[in-house]
Amino acid sequence: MKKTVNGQGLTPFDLLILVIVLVPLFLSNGIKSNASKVLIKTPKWTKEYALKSDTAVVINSYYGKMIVRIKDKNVWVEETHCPLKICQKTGRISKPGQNIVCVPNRVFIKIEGGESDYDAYSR
Amino acid sequence: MTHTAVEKRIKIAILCALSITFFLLDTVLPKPIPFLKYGVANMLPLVLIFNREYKTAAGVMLFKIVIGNLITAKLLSPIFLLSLIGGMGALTVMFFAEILLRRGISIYGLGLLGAFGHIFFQLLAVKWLIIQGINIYFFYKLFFIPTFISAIIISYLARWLNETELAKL
Repeated sequence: MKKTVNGQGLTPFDLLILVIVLVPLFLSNGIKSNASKVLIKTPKWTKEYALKSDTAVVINSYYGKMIVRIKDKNVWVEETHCPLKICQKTGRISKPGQNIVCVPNRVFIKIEGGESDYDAYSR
Repeated sequence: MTHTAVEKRIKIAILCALSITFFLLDTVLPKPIPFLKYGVANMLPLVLIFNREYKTAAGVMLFKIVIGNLITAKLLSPIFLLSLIGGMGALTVMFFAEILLRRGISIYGLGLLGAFGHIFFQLLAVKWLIIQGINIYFFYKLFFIPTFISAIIISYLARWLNETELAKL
C-alpha cells in the first residue's frame, strides 16, 4: 500500500467540503405556519385529518395495531409494535412539513398546511 | 501466476477479510441512535480511494456489503438495498472528489464527503423506494451531528491505518 505524503492536515478544499455539508442545515421549506391537515399514508389507505381534531387513528399495520393520536394540534404515535419504536420516539409534531415515519410498518404521517411562497429559504 | 499477481491477490484477500471484521464490529458496537452505524467498515474503502486504488476500493466495498449482509441475514432485505445504494453512492462521491481535487483534499475531507454522501444517498433511496413523502431536510438535520462525529473519528483511524499497518502490505 502506498504511503501518502500529502493529506496530513486540513486543506482549503476540506474547509469547502465542510461548508457544503453545513449549508443544508440552514435551508428550510418556507411554508407558512397555518398547518391544518394531518396526512396519514399506509400501504392500504391514505387519509387526511384536521389538525385541530381530537382523535385516535388505529392502523392495522404489518407489526400489529398502531395508534396515532391527534390532540391539541399535536400528532404523535401513541402505540406501536415495530421492533425499534423509532416512530414513537420521534415524539410530537405540530408544524407543517414535520413528519413521523415508521419504515417497518410503512406508515407515513405528515402535517400539511397552506401554500408556500418560497421553495426554500435560509435562516 | 506471477509473484506480483499472487501478492496482489493476497492483499485483496486480507482487505476483504478486514472489511468483514469491521462490518461485524459495527453491528455489535452499542449505538446511541438505534439504526445508525458508526461506519467502521468504511475505513478501508476510504484508505483505498485516498491511495487511488479505485477498483480495489469498489471491490472491497461490494464484498463488505454483500457478504456482511449475508452473514447478518439481511441479504435482499430493504436494509441491504439501502446499504448498497449508500455505499456505492459514497464511493462515487469520493472517487470524483479524488479525481478532481487530487492532492488538494486530505483524508478528513474525503471521509466527510463519504459519510455525508452515504447518508444523502440512503435518504434519497428511502424517498424513492420506500416512503415517497419523506422530508429529506428533516432527517439530514437529525443525522448531521452523529454523521459528522463518526466521519472525523473514522477519518482519523483511516489515516492511522494508512500510515502504519496497511503501509506494510
